[in-house]
Amino acid sequence: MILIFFSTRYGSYIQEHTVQVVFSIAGIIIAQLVTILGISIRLIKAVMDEIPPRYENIARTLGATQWKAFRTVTLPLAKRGIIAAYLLAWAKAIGEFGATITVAGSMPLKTETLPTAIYLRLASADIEGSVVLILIIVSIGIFTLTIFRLLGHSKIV
Amino acid sequence: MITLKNIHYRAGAFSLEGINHSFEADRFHIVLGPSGSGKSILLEIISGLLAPASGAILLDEEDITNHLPEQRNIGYLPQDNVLFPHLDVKENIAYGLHIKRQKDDDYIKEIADKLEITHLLDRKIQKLSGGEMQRIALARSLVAGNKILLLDEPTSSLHHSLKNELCYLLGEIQEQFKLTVIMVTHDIESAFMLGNTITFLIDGKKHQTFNNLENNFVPFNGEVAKFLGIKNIFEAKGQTRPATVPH
Repeated sequence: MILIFFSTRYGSYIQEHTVQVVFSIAGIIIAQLVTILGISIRLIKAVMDEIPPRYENIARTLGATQWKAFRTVTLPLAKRGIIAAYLLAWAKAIGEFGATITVAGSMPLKTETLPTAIYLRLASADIEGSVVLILIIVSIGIFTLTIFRLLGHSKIV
Repeated sequence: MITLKNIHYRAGAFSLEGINHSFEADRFHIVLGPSGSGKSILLEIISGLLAPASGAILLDEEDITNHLPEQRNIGYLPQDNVLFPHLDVKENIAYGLHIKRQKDDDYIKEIADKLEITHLLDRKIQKLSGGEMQRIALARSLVAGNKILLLDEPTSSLHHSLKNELCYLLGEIQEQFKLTVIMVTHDIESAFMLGNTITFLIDGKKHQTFNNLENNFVPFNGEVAKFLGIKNIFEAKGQTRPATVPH
């Protein structure tokens, strides 16, 4: 969809007058954003749903407007959950392969991401290089999931 | 004075039907009834958290039916207290001032002294007992400057001795701060202990209002008597007097 859009008249206009998207770093960002946006919204919604609305209701009887109640009560209560959701979405983006290689390609040292680099090294039979990159990506995943679990254990009273 | 004019509300099969009532200022009012009779809904309507299907709410003759909760200056303490878990005790109490960008440590200390919670001010709320949470929620509402307090079953989760202690405290606070308190409860004992007036709300209908300061209590109808556990001592049958035939 992204590729089709940027090959239309409007997409070409955007690329000519603002930023080159296809086969560039901007393409990586857009491809990853589109892929993780859905999961990010779902995760943040789950965090927000966990906070009972009665906290905001009480804040309002104490003089807070709806926005102030959200800013001073709901948002601080959701903070850890939002950070955890961000970390999980970030980890998913790091491991994203299909959309990235389709939109941005895999030009060494230009639009190379960890998964595309692993793919290229495996394609050229560079086993040692692939193993090092795989270990890096697995470590990032384990680290992120550990932080996610720690943050996820905070409970609302 | 808070006046309810023909308040209707419907939630599924339950409905509040045409509630008309006046709560006089500076008095302790009780709304008494069994669970599921619409007491909490009534409080949420008065506080502005729920909108009635029809009817009007007047505060000192001013129609506040369409006012937002933050515009009403009515404090609401729900059954489970709801202290903010991300704030400590002092920050919870100061919340109403913080919202108005005010700071008054002396006033917070004065209220905390009166409610005997000064020693708790720096604690996290996760380390408090039910009774302590009640006092802090009360202090938070007083510090926010609310002259009308709505209390939803404040004694329901407390042990008998703590319940009596809280009842005395509520009575004292109401008198000292000249508050208008509307407390809903199904606890007959605390209702008669605290209430200047007691209004019976059963199945979404107002049945009787009783002035606890003046009258001896007599239930108006079978529903109120049944709720209070009053039984007939003698079997009797009502009969209309036969009309006298004019000569």
